[in-house]
Amino acid sequence: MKHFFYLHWQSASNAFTRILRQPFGSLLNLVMLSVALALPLSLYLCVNSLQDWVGRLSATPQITLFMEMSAEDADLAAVNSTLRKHPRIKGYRFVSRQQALKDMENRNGLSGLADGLESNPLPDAFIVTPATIEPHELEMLQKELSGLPMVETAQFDASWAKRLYGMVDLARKLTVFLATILGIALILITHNTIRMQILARRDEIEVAKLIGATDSFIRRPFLYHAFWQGVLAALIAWGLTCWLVAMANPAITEFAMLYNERVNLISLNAPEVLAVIGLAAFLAMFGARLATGHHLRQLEPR
Amino acid sequence: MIQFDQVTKRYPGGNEALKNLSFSIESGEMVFLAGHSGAGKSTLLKLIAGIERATSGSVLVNNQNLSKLRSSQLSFVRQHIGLVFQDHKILYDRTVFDNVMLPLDIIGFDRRDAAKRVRAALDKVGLLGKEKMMPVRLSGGEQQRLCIARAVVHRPTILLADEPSANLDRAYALDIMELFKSFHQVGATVLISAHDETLMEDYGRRIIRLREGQFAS
Ligand SMILES: Nc1ncnc2c1ncn2[C@@H]1O[C@H](COP(=O)(O)OP(=O)(O)OP(=O)(O)O)[C@@H](O)[C@H]1O
Ligand SMILES: [Mg+2]
Repeated sequence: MKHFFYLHWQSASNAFTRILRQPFGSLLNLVMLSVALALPLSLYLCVNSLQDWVGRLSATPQITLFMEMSAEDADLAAVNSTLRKHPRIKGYRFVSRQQALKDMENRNGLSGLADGLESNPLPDAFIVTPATIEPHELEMLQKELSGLPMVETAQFDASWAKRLYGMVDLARKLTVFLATILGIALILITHNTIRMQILARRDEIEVAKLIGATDSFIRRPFLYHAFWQGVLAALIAWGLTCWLVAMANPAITEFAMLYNERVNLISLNAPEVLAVIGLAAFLAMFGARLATGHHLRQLEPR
Repeated sequence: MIQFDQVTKRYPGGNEALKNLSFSIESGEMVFLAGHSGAGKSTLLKLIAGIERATSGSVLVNNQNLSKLRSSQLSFVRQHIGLVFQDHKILYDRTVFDNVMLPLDIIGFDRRDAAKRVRAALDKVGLLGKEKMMPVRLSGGEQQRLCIARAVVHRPTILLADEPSANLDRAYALDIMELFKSFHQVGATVLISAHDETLMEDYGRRIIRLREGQFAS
């Protein structure tokens, strides 16, 4: 049993040094493989992060009631009491026009903005949290609230969130599609590399087979070669996505700040990284298995 | 040990290399196989090693019917056979030493003991001083001896040698015969083919004579 592991360890390390010994050819291969992996991975990251954000968005739908500029305290009180008694409203918050202006100053670092303006251009507003998240009911509520006296508009971002959600869904399907295609490409690429290697070592394989090597003995170095290729390609692809995240995140955060949102790309977590490595190794070995199987069948006695 | 029962081998293209052959070789026997070029000597040896399959009839090695064995089982049968190929089948991308190491790697022999075995085998064929050389730098006869060292290094129970002395001068040919004899003496079954019978007759062993795929009377 110890011997068995020793043999496997030997095969694995031989295959690894073989990869290292032909740096240019294997590097080219690795680049191909890791790009094939990095593309769907990056898309996956984007989708995942977007989905996270969209999830946060739609989990707390809000309707903002902007009052007419001419609304008086009495009007505000009327709306206030309507909202308080409304069964489909979970909570609400009043933002006076003075408060809104101050918020805006703080948020955008525009202190002194108010001094520069002749009059406050912002309306009073109620920010309403509905008791429901069902899109249709939300729409009804929005219509009803916009009909209240002295309410200018009832703004609700449902349609926008819904559209965004749809886009994320589409992107996710695209990711699955791309991952499938590139997974197949990964199999084909390793199939081809291993086929080339088999051709280069054809004599060795034939002689080994003639003097008693089993198919698994002959296959082993090629499977390990594919295994290492898959693992290395996955690690490189992971590195590429980390690079993408590090590079894109500051820009994304800055951009999202303009809309007062917290959005950023989320890196792969440990289980995801392991899954990617495992999957890449498996697909590569599958491609190698196909290539060796095909060749070994030709060596069978007739 | 080896038993042929009405064995016919027809190659693709209709060429009948062996015709309805029946014979047996006992365990521990040393037998010569004689016949002119094209008589079917190599074909017979390949059938024993499971490199070719019989078209009809059965080939039994160690009481196992080779035509009924799966590929992996055939491999294990071959691991107990030492083969000297007529066309050597030496690997030219590795040293003499590594060529002889191959059978030991295949049976999973411990690497440290393996090196000793390899040197012992090379010593027996007089190639010990050339273990680090690449095979292209060996003469024809030396390559043949390399092939013999590879065939015996894992101490097979059956030794099949296809014209092992074809490229050797008489002195080396006799040495090689002595080597095979010593294998026979420790219990191995040995089958040696040659088209030159003079060497065989000195040994007084059974000779199977083939002519066009049949026994020559
Ligand atoms: N792979 C093959 N395909 C077709 N015919 C073959 C093949 N191998 C051998 N033959 C034919 O089978 C017959 C016997 O060949 P074999 O190689 O067994 O002869 P041999 O006795 O070993 O001859 P030699 O002394 O020249 O080596 C010959 O007629 C040969 O043409
Ligand atoms: Mg021959």
